[in-house]
Amino acid sequence: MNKNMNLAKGLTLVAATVGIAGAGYIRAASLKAAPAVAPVTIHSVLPSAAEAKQLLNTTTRHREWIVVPISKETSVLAWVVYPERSDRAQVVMVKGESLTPSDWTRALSDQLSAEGYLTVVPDVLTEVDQHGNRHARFALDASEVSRREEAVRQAALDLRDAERQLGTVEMGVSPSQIRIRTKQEQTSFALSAGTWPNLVGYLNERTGNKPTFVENPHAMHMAMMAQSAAGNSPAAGDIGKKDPRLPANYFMAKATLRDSKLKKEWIDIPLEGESVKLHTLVTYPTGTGKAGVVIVMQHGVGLDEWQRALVDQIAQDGFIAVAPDLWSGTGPNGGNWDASEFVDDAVRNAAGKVTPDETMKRYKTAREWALTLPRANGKSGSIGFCAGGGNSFRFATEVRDLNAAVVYYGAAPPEAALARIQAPVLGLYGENDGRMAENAMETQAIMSRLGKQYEPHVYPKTTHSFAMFQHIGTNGAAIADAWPRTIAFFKRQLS
Amino acid sequence: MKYYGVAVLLLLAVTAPGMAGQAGPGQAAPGQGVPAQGGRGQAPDGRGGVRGGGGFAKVPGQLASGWNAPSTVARTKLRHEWVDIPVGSRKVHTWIEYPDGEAKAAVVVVMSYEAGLDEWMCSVADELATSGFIALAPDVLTGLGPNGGNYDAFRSPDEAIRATRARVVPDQAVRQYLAAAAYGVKLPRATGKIASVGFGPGGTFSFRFAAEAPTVDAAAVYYGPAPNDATLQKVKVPILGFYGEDDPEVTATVEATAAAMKRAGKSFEYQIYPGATHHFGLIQVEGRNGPAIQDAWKRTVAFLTEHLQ
Repeated sequence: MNKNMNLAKGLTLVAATVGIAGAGYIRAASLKAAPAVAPVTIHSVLPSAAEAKQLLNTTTRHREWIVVPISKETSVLAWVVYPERSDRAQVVMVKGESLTPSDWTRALSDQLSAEGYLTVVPDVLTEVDQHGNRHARFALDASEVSRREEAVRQAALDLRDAERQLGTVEMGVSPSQIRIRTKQEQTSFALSAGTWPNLVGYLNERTGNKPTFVENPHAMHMAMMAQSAAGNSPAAGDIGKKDPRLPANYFMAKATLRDSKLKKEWIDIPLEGESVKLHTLVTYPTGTGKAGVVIVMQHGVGLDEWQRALVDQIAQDGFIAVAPDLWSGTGPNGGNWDASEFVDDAVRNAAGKVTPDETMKRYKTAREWALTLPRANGKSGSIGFCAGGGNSFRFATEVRDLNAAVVYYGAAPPEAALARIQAPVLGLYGENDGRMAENAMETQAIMSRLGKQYEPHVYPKTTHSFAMFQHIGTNGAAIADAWPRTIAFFKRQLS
Repeated sequence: MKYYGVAVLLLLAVTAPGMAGQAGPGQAAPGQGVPAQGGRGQAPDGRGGVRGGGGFAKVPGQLASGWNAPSTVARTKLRHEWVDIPVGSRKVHTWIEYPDGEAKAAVVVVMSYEAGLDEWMCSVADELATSGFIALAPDVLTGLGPNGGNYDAFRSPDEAIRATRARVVPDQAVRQYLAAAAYGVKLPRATGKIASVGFGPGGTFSFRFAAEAPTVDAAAVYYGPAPNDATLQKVKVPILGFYGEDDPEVTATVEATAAAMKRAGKSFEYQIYPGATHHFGLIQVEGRNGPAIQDAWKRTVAFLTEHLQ
């Protein structure tokens, strides 16, 4: 009974506010007599094909590609957009005319999410193997398509924000028509900007959709960054000329090291119980005053020129920068990073040789050594990039009196370890970096539950190593925001 | 049946170079020809996002990245040499690399990006030679370095970038490329067929080469804007272009280029890779640059092979 009342309300909305009875809404005619109700607010529009990309680039709703296993070895992709609501959401699966999402179907899913739905668009043609490699399939038989779509449907229902009990609403969309299958029935609408509110009203009624919308701090952040990226921030500019306030990019590292006037030295720090010594670059800020110590944790190719130029920038910004060559002893003849002839050789030579525990031991040794330097003020922080970002985060879980940790695009430790963190953590991530941004949001939820200080920043359309490759995409705007934030954070925590 | 139809369309989009560019607005839909965006196995397990060897090690048949170009060039087994080729009263310092064996081969002129004829550009020549072409990579900074030196006289990449911007005169660079090409096609092993492949500003020169070279068979362009319409009118051969969606400055020009080429009746096929940035050949581990360069390079070699036979 109650359901029928709701149905009537929904249809009244359609008839009264849009007046398109007969324009594809096949059941409207018989229910016109229902009493008038206050119009429902529509939060979305039907995107046009031309607007789709722009909409995807500017929407503040959280969205991601999820990887859905379909066998032991193989997964497929699905595009997911999360609604900004405080309760769990009805899942809507959107399928276009092609088996792989288009910008338009993804934009349409974003707009449905604006109405409070958790939307998913399967990409059953893109396979992901165990190593994360992608392969595009060109043909699939219909039964395999169904099997894959079913896997995507189940994965969507398993998402934390999905209301599992409600099952899924399924939509087939073409530019001119939309087919909807709810629990109750299957129907179709002519699709146009005019029929869109009608469709939303129908869907809300059929699914009992009454979202409690919330302000999404993550979304607001994304919007803020998008704004800053659009503006002409200082670093977005010249790839051949270093901004003194920012670390060197890929092309400038060599010149930065060559022209640096700072005092620097290489120290071989003994490692307890090992014959290998930790070859460590120490760079001092100008002057003779005391300063905080920052342990710099290397990125994926080791302590290369770019990483050393970044060490230089940290000292330029007022800290004693201590950068151990984590791969000390892994080079040819027991040599260090610089014993390898080329960067890719160093990576190969070090592969698997320094365990995560040994990594922590080496960084702890460097920190304890550095705190005994005459200029050290007793405070210490860590900063790391890529793999080093993950190490910096883990370092904070293992060093109780660390004062600050900065994580540039590195993964977070498990929850049990996060529970031990004392230091505040600043995290800086690119949105266009696999699951990195999503992980940051998950970590934020955990850290917040644990009562820990964690400040993640996710920069829109930014790639993984945005501190190094500042000259591509929007990475310049990202580092122009991230680096001053990093230094301000260290200044607060290490003074 | 419906799915079968879709599959055929996708297959066409992937196998016919530039189909996506010719047929539509030039935006490849995710999954068309390139894998979709996503993670690289950076699981939240504390491993800190270390990539597999694929991120840093050279993969046979694929273009070297900035990470492995130096070792690739230093260890190539192919015959290579530096030659000073006269250009009027001046010269152009040129890296030449030959395919294995003694058979005749077509020539490909490699046109540098703004950082100059560095190890990465030489690695492009190496990969072309590995694929059976005689590759010539002219240094358009010849004589423009400190004390009248060449690219290798610059002390760091940023200096070379500034010099490329401030001191390379486009018409002179074109003369250098034409001189190198003329030298290349007269090499004893040359078949007489010749093409150009350029990156960034070198992409623009590749367009000009297709218009201005007396002998030319094809040109490939990576993320370089086209020259003016008058030059496009003179293009003699098919051009294949590759662009990144997240490279707004360059990629915004592509549709207009395609329209101008179409008006002029020229063959211009192109692909815009979703989630790829500028420099997606040099920087392969960022965004979706990896799948982009893998697809683009495969198509480049197929395109050159087709037109240089």
